[in-house]
Amino acid sequence: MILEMTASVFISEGSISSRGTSETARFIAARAEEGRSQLQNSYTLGLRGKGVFDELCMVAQNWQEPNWDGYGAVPVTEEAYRLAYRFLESLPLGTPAPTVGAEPDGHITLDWYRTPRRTLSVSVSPDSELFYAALLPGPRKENGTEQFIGDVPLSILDLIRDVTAA
Amino acid sequence: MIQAQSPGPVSANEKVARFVTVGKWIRADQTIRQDAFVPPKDLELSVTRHLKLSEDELWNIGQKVAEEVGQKRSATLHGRADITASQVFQQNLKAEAAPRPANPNHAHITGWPSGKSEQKNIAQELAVAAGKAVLAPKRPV
Repeated sequence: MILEMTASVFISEGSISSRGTSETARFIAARAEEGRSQLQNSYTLGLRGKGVFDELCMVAQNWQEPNWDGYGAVPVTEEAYRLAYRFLESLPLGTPAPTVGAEPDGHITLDWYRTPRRTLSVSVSPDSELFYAALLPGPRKENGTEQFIGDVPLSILDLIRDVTAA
Repeated sequence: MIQAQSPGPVSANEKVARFVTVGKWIRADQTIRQDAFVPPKDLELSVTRHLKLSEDELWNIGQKVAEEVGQKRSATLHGRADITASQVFQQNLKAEAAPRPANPNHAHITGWPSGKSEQKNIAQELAVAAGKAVLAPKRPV
């Protein structure tokens, strides 16, 4: 019952902001974060069951050496891996799974794709920056940079919805 | 040092190949992820001009690129993404001959904006222009 209620909150609302200032607000945010993390890691409800965390782990392991692409690429760092992991955990439950990759500067990329002209790529840098770019019907192009401080920015959530909506 | 002879400036109707050395850069439907076209930090994206190269010669150059992959990964050439220089120019980028001793047809795609997210949008456009990857032929072990 508690699980159902918690899940429904996360599915509809995404992450709960942890920016409250009172001790109670911080406590609630911490418990909520813990609950969301557990749900995201569950095989039935979260991205874990879709293999995304395994894919992320594989990318981080395979590309931790310099020149992993033959063109002089920078290694994927543990920090980039850690932040990408947290980003995935922070996505609202029910978010379609991205595929995971990496770019020559060592950023981890999360790719939501329906067609070549309906696609979103988010780069997670080791400095907590999220660089995103999308091609959408219209034709429409979007790009931008956001800081990742624990919550997935609304601009990115909106683009995930635009790319993956039926 | 041996100076590679330049075949001259890159013209708009030329094809250039971006060799794909990372399997994940090719999606299941054979389209190319933008990752393959995101420039490195020096903003010089390596490509190879087709010019008069045969398919075999082109793949041999790609194989050499794959062999430059770090020692701890097995070197695999997965395929290549072909685009024309005019498609590069449409993105307000340049294609400049940058011959190397082992690859006189080597060129750089330059003129990238400094912002990473803008670079990603352009990389997505180049991936669209490339269409489906040309998969590397299976080689005898």
